[in-house]
Amino acid sequence: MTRIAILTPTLTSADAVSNDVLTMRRVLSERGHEVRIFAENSSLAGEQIEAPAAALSYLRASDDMLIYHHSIGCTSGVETMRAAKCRKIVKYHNVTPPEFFEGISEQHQHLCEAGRSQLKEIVAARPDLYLAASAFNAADLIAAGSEDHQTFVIPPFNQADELRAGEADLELLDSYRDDSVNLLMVGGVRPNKGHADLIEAFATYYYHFNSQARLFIVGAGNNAFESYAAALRRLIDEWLIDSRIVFTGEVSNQSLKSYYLLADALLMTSEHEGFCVPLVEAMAMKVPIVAYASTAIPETAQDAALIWDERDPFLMAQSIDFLQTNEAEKMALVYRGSRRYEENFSNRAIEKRFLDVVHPQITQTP
Amino acid sequence: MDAQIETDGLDLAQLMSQIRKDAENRKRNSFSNGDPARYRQLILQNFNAFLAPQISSLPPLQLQPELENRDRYHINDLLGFHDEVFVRNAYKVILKREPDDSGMAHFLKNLRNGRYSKLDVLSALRFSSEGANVNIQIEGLSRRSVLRRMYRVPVAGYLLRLAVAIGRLPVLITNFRRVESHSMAQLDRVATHINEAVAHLSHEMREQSKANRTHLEALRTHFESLQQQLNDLKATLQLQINSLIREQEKFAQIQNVIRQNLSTTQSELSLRIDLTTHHAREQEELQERSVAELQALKAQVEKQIDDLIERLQRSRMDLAQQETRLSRLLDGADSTPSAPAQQPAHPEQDHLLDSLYFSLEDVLRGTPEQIKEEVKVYLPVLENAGMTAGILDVGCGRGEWLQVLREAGLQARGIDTNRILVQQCKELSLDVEERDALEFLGSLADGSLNAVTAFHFAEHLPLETLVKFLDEAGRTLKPGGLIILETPNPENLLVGSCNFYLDPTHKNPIPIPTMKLLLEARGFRCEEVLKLHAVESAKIEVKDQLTSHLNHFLYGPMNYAVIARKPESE
Repeated sequence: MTRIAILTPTLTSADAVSNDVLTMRRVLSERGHEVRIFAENSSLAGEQIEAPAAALSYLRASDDMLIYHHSIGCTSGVETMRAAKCRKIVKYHNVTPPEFFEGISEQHQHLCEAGRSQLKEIVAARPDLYLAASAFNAADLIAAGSEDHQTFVIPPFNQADELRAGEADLELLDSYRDDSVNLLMVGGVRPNKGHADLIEAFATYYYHFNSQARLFIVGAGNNAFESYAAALRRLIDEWLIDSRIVFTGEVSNQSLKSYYLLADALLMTSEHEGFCVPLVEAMAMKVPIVAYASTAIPETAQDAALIWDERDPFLMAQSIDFLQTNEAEKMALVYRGSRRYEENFSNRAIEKRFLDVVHPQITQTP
Repeated sequence: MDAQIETDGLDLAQLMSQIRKDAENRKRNSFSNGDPARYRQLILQNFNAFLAPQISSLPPLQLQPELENRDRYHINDLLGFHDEVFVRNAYKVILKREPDDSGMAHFLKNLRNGRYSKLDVLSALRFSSEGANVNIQIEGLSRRSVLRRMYRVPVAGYLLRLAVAIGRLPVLITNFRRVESHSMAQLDRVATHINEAVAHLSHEMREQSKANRTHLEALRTHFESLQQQLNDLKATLQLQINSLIREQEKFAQIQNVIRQNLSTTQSELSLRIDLTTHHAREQEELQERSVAELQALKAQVEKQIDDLIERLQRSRMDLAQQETRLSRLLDGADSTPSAPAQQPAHPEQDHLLDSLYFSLEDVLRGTPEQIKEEVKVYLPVLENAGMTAGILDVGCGRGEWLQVLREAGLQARGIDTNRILVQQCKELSLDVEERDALEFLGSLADGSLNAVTAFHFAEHLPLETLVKFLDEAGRTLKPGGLIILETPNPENLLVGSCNFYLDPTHKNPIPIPTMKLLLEARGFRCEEVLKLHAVESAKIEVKDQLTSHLNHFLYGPMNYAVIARKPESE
């Protein structure tokens, strides 16, 4: 049995990194290890979360282990990595480039600048193992100085299993039961998510293909990004399509399942993703994916999605139309996705990869 | 279901290049040429044009010229203004300020009711103390104002005004003409301005309507393109509907054909089924008949075989008996016929062991009650054969079997060579004699017995004697009569190796096949072998083959009986 501390900047609901952290704790606890979570901020009810400062007194022995999740500027995380005298693993989820927040949120711009520059400091703290959520992220680690043989790609644990098995919000399903083609975007309303392209693609589909179309934008907003949200609202007004776009805000897992059940396709126009969990959820829920090739998106979806290199709304719209009118190809694509999910991204598959890489590290004497 | 979906056949690259081609086509045929920004702009422009039409305006018409700012003025510079503008400009030029409200009201009132001329106003301002202070030079003002002051002298002033008026009449007339022409010029300017305004307005309206026409044209083009798309869609839809209808018709036809085929097939099938059923029934009957015939044949053959065996066995028994007779004859020929017919069965010394054997009987065989219970197994054999008398028990011992027979109402006799045992039997009123078996049987007539039983008897005899016993039994039994022989079973190893020899009078253990062989050889037909008296209580729990074998060989049946029959006569 090993004492393990998992350290992460923030723990919140409906968040990819938080889901990875919580499931990682479960997996390691099930293997008989003593696992505790440390975070700077937490908005999760009923979770025993301790401040990062407590981690160092918890990690006493040299065969204890620290797993730090790096996703944004986090001074306490870097300092703990540097000071801990035990075995160390860093899980890198990527950091949004600060340019996206320019003129929108100075605070986020600074946090992301810090997060980017701290990568080198983390490598300087000499972790025993580097885990990257994707090969795209692994390239960042290698560039910052991590060794090839210490760097492994482990996708983040996710909630797609629960989404598959869980209940749906039936009232919500009923309220949108009509002939509309429902399109879905899942992800926080953040400046790196490419909402303008999304709206343009949707408008193109709406005006040129099918005026019986609806777009759900599912994900939490943030007061810090109000000017971004306002610009999106103006854009929607200009297009005269405000009655066809629904901003849901943050939703429960039940509602999320309903939106996936309603969706005829998931549109992913994000401009920066370190992994992109919504793609995995869509694959698990058998929803076809149309996306612009950006950052880790092509790697995660691979041949189970229609992915376009050019950001051309007509390609998006035509893709949606194609999926609506070619059932056999749509089903083939969807089942390819479902198989990809089961083989690579179900928590069981990830757990095996994770333990294969991490367990030798835990069990070997330092 | 999931597993049946074929995904490997999906060529993503080919599919995406098709989508790309379709998207290009769609762009080319679209109203905005596929540029979403332009599309959006077009929509907005057309709406804005309707919401906010832009008309340029003409400069306003000015009948009074602007006042020029100068140091010196001529009186005519100011007389060109009228009314309020005149008063305001007079103030500005002469006093260098805007008029005060009371001044303005005063002058306007007097100008408008004709009490003051414009010159009066100018003089009043110029030659007021404020005007004197400012001291602006206005050519042509001073003289007239001196004169005008003289006009205000009563009577003489009037006469003076009259004289001046008459004197200035030509000037007045000239002035009047100038005013008239000025008025006419102003009227012309007004008319020209109105004409220009009308022309401008109509031009603007033409331009606007032209712009509107352009916008409308753009919208009409858009709507036409939409209409065209709609028509295309309608046509496609109609085509699809038609093709659907055709498909439906085809489907209905196919359905009909299928239905017909189905009904034909069904009737054929039912016909075939009937036929097959019929055939099957016939076949079955045939089979039944064949089976019955075969069974009859089999029974017949079996009977013939049985008869043959029966005849064989009879011949054997006959042969055996002929042998016996022959050997007796030969014996008789060899020795002097001194032996009397009624020789005692056993010489006296043979009884030396009688008491010993009597005492052993309990130990070796068991208590009478046990034995009685055990031998009851043979009762049904005799009862089933319908035998109620003519039963001989050879070596009857303590008479347990005879008692069982008596209790069952069957008549039986017993013989034994042990005097003590015979005595005991007699005490039980059993029909028992102390006789030697061979000798006793020899005294009986052919076919005089129904059954011969001999329990634990054969193993006491040497082979030769046993053979003779069998031959005598064969002779004295009626055709179909039974012989039952019980003896220790050497298949049980404990019996074969040890227990058999507990009785010192035993000769050799006789294995079941040997016993059957002997009986068959002497002409009997073996009916049944009963294996008896397994030591159930001693058996160990069966776990495997070994324990099972162990149980069989150590604790298996300790005795067996062969039930054989004398063949029926022909």
